[in-house]
Amino acid sequence: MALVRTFRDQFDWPLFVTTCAIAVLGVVNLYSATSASGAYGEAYIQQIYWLTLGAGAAVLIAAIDYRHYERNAWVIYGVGIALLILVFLLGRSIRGSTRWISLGGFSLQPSELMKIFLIVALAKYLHNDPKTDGRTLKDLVIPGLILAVPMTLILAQPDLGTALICAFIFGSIMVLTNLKLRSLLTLAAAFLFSAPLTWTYLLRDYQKGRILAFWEQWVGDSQDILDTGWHAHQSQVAIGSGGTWGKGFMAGTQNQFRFLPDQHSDFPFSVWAEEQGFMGSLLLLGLYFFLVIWGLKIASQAKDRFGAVVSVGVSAMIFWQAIINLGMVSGLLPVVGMTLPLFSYGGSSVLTVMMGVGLLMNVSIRRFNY
Amino acid sequence: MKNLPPKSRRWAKVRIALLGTLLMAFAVAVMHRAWELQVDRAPALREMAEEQYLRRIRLAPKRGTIYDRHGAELAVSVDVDSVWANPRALRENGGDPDVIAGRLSRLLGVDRERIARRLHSDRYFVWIKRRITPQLAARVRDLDLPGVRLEREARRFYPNRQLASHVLGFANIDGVGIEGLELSLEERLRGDRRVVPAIRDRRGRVVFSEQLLDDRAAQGDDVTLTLDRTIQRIAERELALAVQTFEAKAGSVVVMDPESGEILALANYPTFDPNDPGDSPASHRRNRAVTDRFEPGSTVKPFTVAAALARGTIGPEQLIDCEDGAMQVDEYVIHDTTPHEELTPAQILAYSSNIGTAKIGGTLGRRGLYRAFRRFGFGEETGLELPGEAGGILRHFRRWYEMDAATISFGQGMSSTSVQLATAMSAIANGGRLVRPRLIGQVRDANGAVVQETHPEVRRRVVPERVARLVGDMLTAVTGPGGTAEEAAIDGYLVAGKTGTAQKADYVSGGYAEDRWLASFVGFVPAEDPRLVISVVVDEPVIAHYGGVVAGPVFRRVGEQALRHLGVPASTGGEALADHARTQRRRRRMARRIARERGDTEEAPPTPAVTRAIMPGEVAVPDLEGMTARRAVVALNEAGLRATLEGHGVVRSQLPAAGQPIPRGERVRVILQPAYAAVGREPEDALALAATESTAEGATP
Repeated sequence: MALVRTFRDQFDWPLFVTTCAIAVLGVVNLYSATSASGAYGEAYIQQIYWLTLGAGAAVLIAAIDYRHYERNAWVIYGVGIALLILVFLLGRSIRGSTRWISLGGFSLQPSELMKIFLIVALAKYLHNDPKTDGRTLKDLVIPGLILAVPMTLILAQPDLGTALICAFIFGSIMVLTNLKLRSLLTLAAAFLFSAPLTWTYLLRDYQKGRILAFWEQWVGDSQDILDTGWHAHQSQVAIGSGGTWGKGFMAGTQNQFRFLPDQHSDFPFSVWAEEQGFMGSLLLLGLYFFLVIWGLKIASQAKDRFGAVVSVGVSAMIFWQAIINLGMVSGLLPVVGMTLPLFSYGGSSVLTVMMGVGLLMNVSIRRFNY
Repeated sequence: MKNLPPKSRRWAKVRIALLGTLLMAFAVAVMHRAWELQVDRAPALREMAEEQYLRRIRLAPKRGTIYDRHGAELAVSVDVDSVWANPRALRENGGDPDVIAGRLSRLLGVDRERIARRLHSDRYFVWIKRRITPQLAARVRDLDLPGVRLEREARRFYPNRQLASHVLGFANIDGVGIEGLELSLEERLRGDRRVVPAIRDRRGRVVFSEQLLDDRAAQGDDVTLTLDRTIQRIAERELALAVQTFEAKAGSVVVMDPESGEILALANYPTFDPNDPGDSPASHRRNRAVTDRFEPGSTVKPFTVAAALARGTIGPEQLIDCEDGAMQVDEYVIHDTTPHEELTPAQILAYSSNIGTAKIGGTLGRRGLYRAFRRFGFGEETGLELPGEAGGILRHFRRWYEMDAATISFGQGMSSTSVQLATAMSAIANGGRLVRPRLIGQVRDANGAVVQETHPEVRRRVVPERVARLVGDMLTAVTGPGGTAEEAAIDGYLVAGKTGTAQKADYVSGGYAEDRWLASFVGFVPAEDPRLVISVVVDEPVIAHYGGVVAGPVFRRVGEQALRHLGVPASTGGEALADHARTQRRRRRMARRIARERGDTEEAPPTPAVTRAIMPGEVAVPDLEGMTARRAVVALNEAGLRATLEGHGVVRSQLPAAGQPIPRGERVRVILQPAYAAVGREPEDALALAATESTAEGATP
């Protein structure tokens, strides 16, 4: 069995071990984070189910040569768009956002999966684009459209965090794949110019509130902690009170007494940092950092452009999600709904990251195959 | 991307370097932030965290109960509901602060504006109304308003209202003792407030506390007092009656067991309700029996006599020359109310002779008198477990003025409290031992285990038992026929005691007020086997002044009811005593009725014990009242004085007053008025007014 031998010889152990380490720590942390909460008391078990499902998906995705994906990229992209449209037709609304569709006993968040489909579509386009010179702005029109369609749909849910990540993935891929310096600068200028317009027309009130709260925390008097700033403030108190060595597993007061908001979904790092301290934070940061660097290494060794772009995309996805989430919980960035890969509770998020890891593994294994 | 064309390689490298730098920059930023929060600012943030979950722990343990000696509840803590709100939760759950303020205002009777202001605040916890009735609490619960909650709080409750209010004191709304035993026993009653590591979560619920599992460990201790609720009630009733009857300003009664020092009752008037201490002025809340000093006057005479008998400077049957009612000492003259030639010590006490007592005191010498009074406990606190006890003033004998050696022997020029008097009299009653007065009997924790128990404490022997018995015998004559306090006699019991009719010091003029008196009686019963020492002090009685008349009956009424309550058997020969006492009272009542019918005033004002003596070159101003102008001038000339006449008619008033010493040749102002105008009219001239004002003003001791 050539396939089995390939797997054994080429298996990417560092990728596997790093992913497993983050996932295991994530489940352990989730156990502590939800132990005080009745509603999410069983969340860690759900998380294990999703991780298992995700691992299965990853193995499946890694097993099939990625050239099949390249060939069917537009179909995959189309399925993603169809799912996003379905959300509007039969979506389930939670806290003012319609992001989920129910599939039997569980609900799925298509915007999460869309990140992977978007990466595949962008890779497909760049793979087929024969252009080897620097890309100009005109060359960005089609990939821009590939991004714009799902992003518009996601923003309409609204899901600012996921939309942002899509944009960041797009940006990262474009910067890494032969974008002209002039084009890059023009893009940056355009982004700055569009910021006020985004503020006025695209952002919802609660999103503005979060940004304002964040602004006040750094600029003005943070004495009066507004409701929106409350989350960020509580998170920082939790992280800081952990100190160098932490309060110990299951012993984080801010977590156990529910001063922390959403500690299972958006703020699991606060729980981790409170209970494991600065040393624990360094360990987790190191793991994410290594995973991203490793992903970029896979990209640089990929045998073709499709594999390289996919690897860059997945690495960018993990990197930006981790950085934005950590920046948010530690008060460096405003609060946006952003999951921490493999640490946050959430089926779609776990599934998406595992699929991404599967793609990385796929590219890594087949780097020598022609 | 090894398959890129070579010419793009450099730019590709730059881009990768750029992205790598960016990636590094972000990673470093997050790590730096983690360092900043978890290492640099960790102590401060840890404190903030602890503040959050330890902040609102007002885990007030149940305050201990105060019982009387028989277990009747005097002060208890009851759990009642208090209404509070979380304004943020209220608004988050769609509540309109103004509407809710209106509904709460109507229900609870709190100002609507005030509630609204609180509900509009950005806080997580505001009180709406504390300590409401269970009925109101149920209605608040029924309203089910968002963000409005109820919390159980303990409220201090005094079931007997005014009873023993001055002893108990009161606690404020947070259950902290402010006055009386509530204050002095705060540590014991409060319970363990500080070491409860209860932790509260974001919603304010108690999440964890080992101590909560057995909250009795944190509860306050229960205190049993020596007070007897029944005797206390009797004392308060009789005192109030006397103060009202004689139109006095205030008064106090102390009932004490002379053997053990246990205070059975401690009453003051005016009084207050500790359930609403704010409704009474501070002066009503003062525990006068403990905090107010006054010149005790004649009530200290037994102590002078006892000291002299103990030292052997007089004999028990020795006759003492009482100078026929007036004795000059330096520039002053000491007076007796009724003049006597020679008296035994027993008679001196029975008739309350100032001169005789001064002479007995004189045999002790200054040092001897000072030491004796100190031994009886004057000039120091008794050690009662109440806050703010005054020690009374007894200056050191080296700093006594000329007259002090004489006057202190009969209670002027020194001060004491009611409790001190009762304690000193206990030493006579119990055979010469000074005991420490006690209010606290026993302290038990919530499990019923005795934590603290007080026992009779003899501080020292004051006089030999023989002397104490002797003086006790002498004091029975005071309530006997012809004594100063026949009114204090109790049917069937032999009563020993001593009256006091002290002129109050006038701090404005520096002397004594002419018309402000302090009537007192301190005694014990039954005299042969004393069970009760009762000290009665009535401040500024107007209708009558004498201690025997004003304070004596209070002693009798309190004593007879308390003896009955305690089941004390009557004295030997009690029947004869009872007959005698009854006859005496009948006779006095009849005399008073006849006097009233004749329109006489009930009694003449007491004579001042000490006046200034007429010195060489001085003469006493003759009494001119009612004389014509001519006769007044003649009288003054005969005395060697000159007259300044004002007005015409007969003499209405004079300055200086009759009997005052004045240097020979001085002028006396004589104010005349037509005789017809004098009838039924008050003197309106400036002189008379000035004279009344100078005595009416002034601080009370």
